Amino acid sequence: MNLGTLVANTVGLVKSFGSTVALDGLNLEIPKGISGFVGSNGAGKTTTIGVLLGLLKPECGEATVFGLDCWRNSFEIRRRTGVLHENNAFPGNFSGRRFLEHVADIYGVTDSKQSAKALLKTVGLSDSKDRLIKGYSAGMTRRLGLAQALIGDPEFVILDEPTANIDPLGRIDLLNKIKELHKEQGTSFLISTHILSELEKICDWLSIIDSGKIVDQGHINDLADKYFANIYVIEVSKPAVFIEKIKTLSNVEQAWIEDEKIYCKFKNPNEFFTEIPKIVVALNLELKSFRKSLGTFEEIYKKTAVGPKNGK
Amino acid sequence: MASNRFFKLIVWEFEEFLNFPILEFLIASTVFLVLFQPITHLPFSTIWENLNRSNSFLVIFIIFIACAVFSRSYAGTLDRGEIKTLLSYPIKRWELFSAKFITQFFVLSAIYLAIFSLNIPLMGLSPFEPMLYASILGLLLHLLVVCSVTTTVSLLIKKETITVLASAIPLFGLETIGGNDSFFTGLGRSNVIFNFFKQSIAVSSESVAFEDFVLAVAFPIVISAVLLLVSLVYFSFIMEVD
Repeated sequence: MNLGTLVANTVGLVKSFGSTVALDGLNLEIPKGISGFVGSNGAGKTTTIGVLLGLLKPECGEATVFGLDCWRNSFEIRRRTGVLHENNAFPGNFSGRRFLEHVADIYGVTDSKQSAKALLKTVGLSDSKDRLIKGYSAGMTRRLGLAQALIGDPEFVILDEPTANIDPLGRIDLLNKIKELHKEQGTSFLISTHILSELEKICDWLSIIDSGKIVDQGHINDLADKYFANIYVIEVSKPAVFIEKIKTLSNVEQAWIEDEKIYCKFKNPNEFFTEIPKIVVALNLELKSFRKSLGTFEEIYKKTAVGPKNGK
Repeated sequence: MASNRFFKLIVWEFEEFLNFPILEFLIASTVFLVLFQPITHLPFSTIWENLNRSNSFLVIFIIFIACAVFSRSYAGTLDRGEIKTLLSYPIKRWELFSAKFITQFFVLSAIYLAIFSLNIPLMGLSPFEPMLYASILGLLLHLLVVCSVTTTVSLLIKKETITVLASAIPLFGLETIGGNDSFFTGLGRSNVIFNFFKQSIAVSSESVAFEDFVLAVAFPIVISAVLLLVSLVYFSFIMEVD
C-alpha cells in the first residue's frame, strides 16, 4: 500500500514484557478511513495502541503515525490524535464538565467551555455534566471517554472497545457519529473491539492480529474475495436433502450447512448456475435464494485468527 | 503555547490536590501542634527552645503527610491509569512531572507555613521574629527532601500504598536513629540551622560553625536535586506506561 494513504504503519514491531512476547514482528497498516482491529484476548491489540501513542517503546521494528516515529515524535502524534483506552481512568473528583474543559485546554481549544458542553451533548451526558465522575456508571464513564477522545477535532481517533458497557441505543448513536465524523471531517478511526457485527457496519478495512502478529489485513471486499471466492449461499426448503445431492457432484469442492443455509464452494461456479434449477426440480424442493457469499467479519475472522490455532 | 499548557496543568493538579482531605489534615495538624505546645509566657530563651521542639513535631508530621500526598500524586495516578490517560494527551512528559511536583510542593509548603504560623499567637512571638524564619528554612528543606525521596520511590514502585510505606518508614527510621545530630536527618539539619541563627542573636551554649550550617543547607538541596533529576530523566525518556 502507498505509505501516503496510511495513517499508521508498523514494520517488524517487537515488544515483550519479561518473558511474554506481546508483539512478534507486527506489520500493521492502517489506511485513512475507518479501520477495524480485531483479535483474541491477549493478541496484542492494546500493546499496539500503546506503541502507536508512544506510551510503550518497541524493542525493534518501526512504528509510525502520520509518518512520524511513534516514540520520538509522540507529542506531535498525540496532538493530532484522540484516544479512548480500554481501561480509561479519569480523575474521579472532577465533574464530567470540568474534566472535559481541562482536556480541551490541554488541546488548546479556543473555547473550552463551549467545546466541553457540545461534546457532553453529543455523547448524551448533558444531564450529568455536573456530577462527579466517580459517581458515573460504567456506561457513562465510557461515554465520557468517547467525548474526551473527540476533543480538539483530531485527525485520527483510536477507540479501544468503544461500545463496552454502552446500551444498545447508545451503540447505534456512537456508530452513526463515527460514520458522520469520517464523512464530514475526514477523521480516520482505528477501532479495536470484539463485537464484529458492529465493525461490519462502519469499517472498510480490517486488520486481524493473533499472538502479536498480523494474520491478515486488507480492504473488506478484498478479504471477502480472498476467503469467500467461489463460495455461494443456497437456501432451499430441505437443505439436508439438497446437500447430499450436490456433494456427489464433481464440480463441488466443499459443502456444509450453517443456520439452515447451504454454503458451497465450487471449482467452476458458472457450470453450476445451470445445474441448480434442475436439481431443485428433480428433488421437488423450493429454492428460496442463491447468492455469492460476501463473508461477514465474523466469518473472515474465523477463517484467519481461529483457523490456524485449530490447525486447519 | 507550551507555557500556557504548563499553567493549565498546574491548575489541573491544583484542583486535583483540593480533593485531598485538606481541611481534616489542617485540623489534625493544628490540634497536634497545640497539644505539643508547652506553657506560653516564658522567657525568650525558653520560647525559642519550644519553637525548636515544635519544629521536631512538624519534621515527623511532614514525613507522613508529604509521603501520602506525593505517592498519591505519582504512584497512585500511575497505578490507577490516570497518567496513561494524561500522557495520551498532547502533554510533554517533563511538563507533567514538573507540574505535579511544583503544585504539590508549593501547596504543602503553604499548608505547613499556615500550621507553623500558629506558633506566633501560641508563643506570643512577633511575626518578625528572626528565629521563626530560621525554623521555616529548616522545615522547607526537610519537606524538599521528603518530597524528592517519595517521588523517586513512587516511580520505582508505582503502587500508592507500598510507596507510602517504602518512603515514610525508612525516613522516619532515619530520624529516630540519627536524631538531632546528623546531617542526614531533618531534625539534625533543623537543629543546626536553628542554633546557627540563634547564636548570632543570643548567647548560646550550642555553637554551630558556618561550615556546618552550609552543609545543613546544601545537603538537602543536593540530595533533592539529584533525586529529582534522576526521576525526571526516567519519567521523561525511559518510563513506559502500560
